[in-house]
Amino acid sequence: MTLMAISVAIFVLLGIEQIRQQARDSFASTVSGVDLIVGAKTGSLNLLLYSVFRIGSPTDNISWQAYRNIAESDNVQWAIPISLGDSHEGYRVVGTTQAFFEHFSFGKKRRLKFSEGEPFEDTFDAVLGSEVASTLGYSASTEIVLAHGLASTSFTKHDSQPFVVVGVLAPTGTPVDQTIHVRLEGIEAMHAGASAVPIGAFAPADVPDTDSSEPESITAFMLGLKSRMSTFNVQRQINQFAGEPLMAILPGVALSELWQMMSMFENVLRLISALVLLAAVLGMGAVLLSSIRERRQEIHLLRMMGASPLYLFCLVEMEAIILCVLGIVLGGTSLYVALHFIGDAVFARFGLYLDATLLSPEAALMLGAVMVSTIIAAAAPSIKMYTEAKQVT
Amino acid sequence: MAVKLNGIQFSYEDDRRQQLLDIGHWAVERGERVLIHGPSGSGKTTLLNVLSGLLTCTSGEVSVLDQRLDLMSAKQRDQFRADNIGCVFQRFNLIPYLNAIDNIGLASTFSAGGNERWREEATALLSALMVDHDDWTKPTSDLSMGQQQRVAIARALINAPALLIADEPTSSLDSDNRDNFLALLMGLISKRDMTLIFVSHDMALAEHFTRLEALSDITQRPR
Repeated sequence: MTLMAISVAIFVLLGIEQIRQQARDSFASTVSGVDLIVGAKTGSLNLLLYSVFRIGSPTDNISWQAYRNIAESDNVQWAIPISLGDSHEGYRVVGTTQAFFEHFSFGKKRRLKFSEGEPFEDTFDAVLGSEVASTLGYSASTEIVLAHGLASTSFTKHDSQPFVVVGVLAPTGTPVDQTIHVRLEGIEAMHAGASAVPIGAFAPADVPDTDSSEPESITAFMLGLKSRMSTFNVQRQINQFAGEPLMAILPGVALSELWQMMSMFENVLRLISALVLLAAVLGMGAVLLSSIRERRQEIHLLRMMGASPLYLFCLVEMEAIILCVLGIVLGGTSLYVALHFIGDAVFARFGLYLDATLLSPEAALMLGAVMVSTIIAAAAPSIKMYTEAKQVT
Repeated sequence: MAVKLNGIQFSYEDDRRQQLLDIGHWAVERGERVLIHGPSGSGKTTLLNVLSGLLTCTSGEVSVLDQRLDLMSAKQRDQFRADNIGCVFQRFNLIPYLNAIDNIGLASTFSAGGNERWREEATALLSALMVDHDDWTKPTSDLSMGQQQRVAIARALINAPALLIADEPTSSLDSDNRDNFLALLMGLISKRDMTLIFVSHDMALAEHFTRLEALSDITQRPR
């Protein structure tokens, strides 16, 4: 029973560390290729969350003009506009341009790859993230219907405008996998109503129908700059953009704000798991302590065979250490198995990639602390054993 | 001289007024087989613990196998006991969840010299003690009392001690087992030229021994 208690404590301790670390790595990897994210003026965390992680909703849009203005400025190497706000079967639909496939990178400078098909060309083409395709069973040339709003049981479905899947992306370990990508024009077309005409509704009246009509507004855009040095300058320029309230954030900075906010929560979690461990270890100490009294005869026998009181002290400590090691093995293995099985589900739902590799420096440190606390907790019974051994006659 | 006690006085720390042992002089020659008879609680355990080095006396000289135990440190006494003295008790001679071989092996780990050949000696002893081969690997708690006490002898002898101290080892055995036990024990003792100090309340055993003494005569022996 004591072993179970310790295993559970270890499971919780390591599990929390693992999730915490993986969440950070996962989030950081998602924004590693982006220098700035620009959106309507709102909280910087809010902007980060809805633009990159598709969590939450934008408070306002930004004009196409503003986007063009900034995208064409000297410092900018590339720009990816995005338009949010639609959904399909619980997965978010995002409108963007070819620039997304050309310039977006994540993790360690990894590019987007296709597991089948190719980037969209027509207005009603869609490119699916790997999770969307595998969970919903879609592949190239599947037709899908996209709805306005976020709930998967939306009542404003536009049934007469099906989209066609033209490509599926390879897994990235980022929210890209849970996203359905269409052209900006595709989003606009959805909003245009039941008409099958894909263009024209928002274009100025006297511009001829073309495939590349410009949308009036977008939700946000990502920027890659020519030189990292100019980042703060560009940011300032955008924040002070005349004519429209815009803001630009550095994803890394915003993320660390997020982690700071989370840290209190994390610390509470860690405190709880530490207390769980404390309970388990004290329980072990109590069990050992009460067993000493029962073991009087064993003590006498060992003493007569020549064991010194110190030997018996170490014996009890060793019992505790072995319990601890077994608990670590058991808890660690259970965690590994659990992560293995639920990892896929978590990834599909949250875009959080949970690696089953458990050995990190923090985890090792934590296990060291566990060992030390076990040895200390076992001191009481060990000392009792020592005094019993000295007295036994 | 196997044992020599001179001017021994012993009382427990919390009760200094009650002199449990007060021995002017007592000696045992090597090769003797001494039966000390007396009721329990009259200081026999205390005497045996002094002889084995588990207890130190408040005053006097304790000489076992020509070594002065009263001049040794606790650690030295523990080591001396492991190397030179075998002990068999009435009960709880073995770790119940270990088998016979492991129990003997455990005893051998305490000897200073180390003994790579302990396994051979253990099996030889067990065979000599008529412990069935199949019973060697069972947890000793599964063995009968008679078997356990015989395994205990093997455990006590594995480090080839010169002195064996026995504290009522037959008191939990029926008469058949008792006789068997004693026969086997004496056989081994004489074969190895050991000295035996055996405490029991059962005077009927006297025929096996070279000397018979009353416990009260020893423990309260004035100067």
